[in-house]
Amino acid sequence: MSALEILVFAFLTLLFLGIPVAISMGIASIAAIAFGTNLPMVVVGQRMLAILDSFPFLALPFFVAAGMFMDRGGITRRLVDFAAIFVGRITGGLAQVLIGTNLVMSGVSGAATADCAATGSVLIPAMTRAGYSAAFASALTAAAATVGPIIPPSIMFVIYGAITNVSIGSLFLGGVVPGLLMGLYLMVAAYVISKRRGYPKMLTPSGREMTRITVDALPALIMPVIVLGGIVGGVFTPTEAGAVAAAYCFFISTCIYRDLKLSDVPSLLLSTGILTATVMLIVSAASLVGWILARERVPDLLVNSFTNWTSSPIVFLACINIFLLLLGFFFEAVSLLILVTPVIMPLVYTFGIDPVHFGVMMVLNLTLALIHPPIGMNMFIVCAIGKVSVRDYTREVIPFLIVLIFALICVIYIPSLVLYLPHLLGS
Amino acid sequence: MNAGAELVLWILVALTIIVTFIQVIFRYGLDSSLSWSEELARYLFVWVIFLGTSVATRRRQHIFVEILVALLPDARRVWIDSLGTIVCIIFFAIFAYVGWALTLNAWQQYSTALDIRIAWVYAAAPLGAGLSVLHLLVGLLQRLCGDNNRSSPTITAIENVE
Repeated sequence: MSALEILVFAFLTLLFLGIPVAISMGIASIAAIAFGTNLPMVVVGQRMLAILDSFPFLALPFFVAAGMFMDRGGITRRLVDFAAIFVGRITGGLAQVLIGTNLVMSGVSGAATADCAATGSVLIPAMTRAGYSAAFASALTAAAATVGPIIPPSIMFVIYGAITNVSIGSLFLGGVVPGLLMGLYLMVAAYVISKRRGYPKMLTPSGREMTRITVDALPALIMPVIVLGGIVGGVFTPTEAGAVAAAYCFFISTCIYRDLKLSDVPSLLLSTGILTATVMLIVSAASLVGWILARERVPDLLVNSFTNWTSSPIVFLACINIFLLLLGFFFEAVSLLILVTPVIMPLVYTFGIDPVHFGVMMVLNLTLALIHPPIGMNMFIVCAIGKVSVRDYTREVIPFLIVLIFALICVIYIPSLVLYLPHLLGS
Repeated sequence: MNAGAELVLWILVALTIIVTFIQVIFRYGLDSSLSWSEELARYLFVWVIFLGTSVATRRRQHIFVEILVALLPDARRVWIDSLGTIVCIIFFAIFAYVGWALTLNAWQQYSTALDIRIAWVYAAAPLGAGLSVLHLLVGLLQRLCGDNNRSSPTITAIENVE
């Protein structure tokens, strides 16, 4: 067998035996190098270590830590109150508040699953008390959390940018409009369903209350301004922005909101470290796989066979997106992003597609796998919180999944949705 | 030892944040750029990754694909699980070995800004991989001796998130 055959066969076999993604990739690469080439085994270490010594990737633990401080720091409750000022009066007020909260919260935190658990534990019980079905509340929570990885800051964009050397600042800016669009579509869907089922409006807070709520939410609302403004204005790099965000979130959660106890901090930082390590081990093993693939000329082969078959970027994008949506049924989003990106990038450049546009589109696509069976992580989280069966959940999530796929199609075929802001602000 | 590794891990994460934050403060607040902060943060990051890998191995928190394993009956799953553990041991053992070789190779190299031996950075790899092998061996022995009280990975993942 050639190195390539060994690599692919060993990787898929190990993966489906339930062996961790990083280790499946590592062992498959080791086998391919040992039995398919004459290279010394030390290249395994060299390849795997080289990519880890990276300043862009450092943004990953920083934004994870910032999100954890925020989620534990009592921010969710305050953002819920804040969102209620604007959208509470609409039919199905709490459902609208849920989406609004997610839109604001994604500007603070970087991870979809953490946001999902944070908003879900506050809003799913509140919604069931107000007369919403638990399945509806759970499905909407999972779906609304998908805006998290699209609206900056976003861990997925950090990973994509660090792998491809595409500006993380541009990706952050590029995610703003698509993220808002997803929120808007979800709000429309939630409105239509609420109207038909007669879900209630919320009481409007008094003017005095409104001021208090806004002032209370202000420290959290400033955070996206600091991160985006700082990066766009050239004040700091995305990695430094991550450190500033983490420090800022730590400060307001412990000193202003005071919901975060210092004794909680070690466990949050520990979780940050573990999450970082598991993701970076995949990054590391994937760079080894990518190196072998490049050595076997797989990206060239892919470009040649694809360009022989079609020259239309539209067809190419449609194929890639269907392919990614299918992979989402089997693979977890972050591993998929890390594995597929380096292989696909030569094609993206060949078809003349802007890498920022492609990055936002791809992350949006992969995020959808978080909310549908069989392996969607958001789905498992909300089903556990709402005590809903996967079957009831699935029935309720379908309309939201459809509008999100519609948002994806808009992003695929209207590149300026993504590219307008980065071009406007010249980054 | 486990508590020690976790203590060091969270302190390292805190240090990377603090070092990078100080870098920004010095550049703008005090108008003097630090030469060593970025390098230090990158090296701490490498240590976070490999120490974190060993902790993740012990807690069984590595990301994996559940789809086929979940379809198997429980009795078969134990066997697949032991097989998987052995594959992981092989991987980490090889990785510890090549990591160690690289560490020895780099003994004479010094970093540009901090002027420390690069070997101290690389040493994280064999250490983290070696610790992972130990954790996996202990886990395997416990399971073979019938101590079978682990919960499903999905539930564990959900508990972690919460």
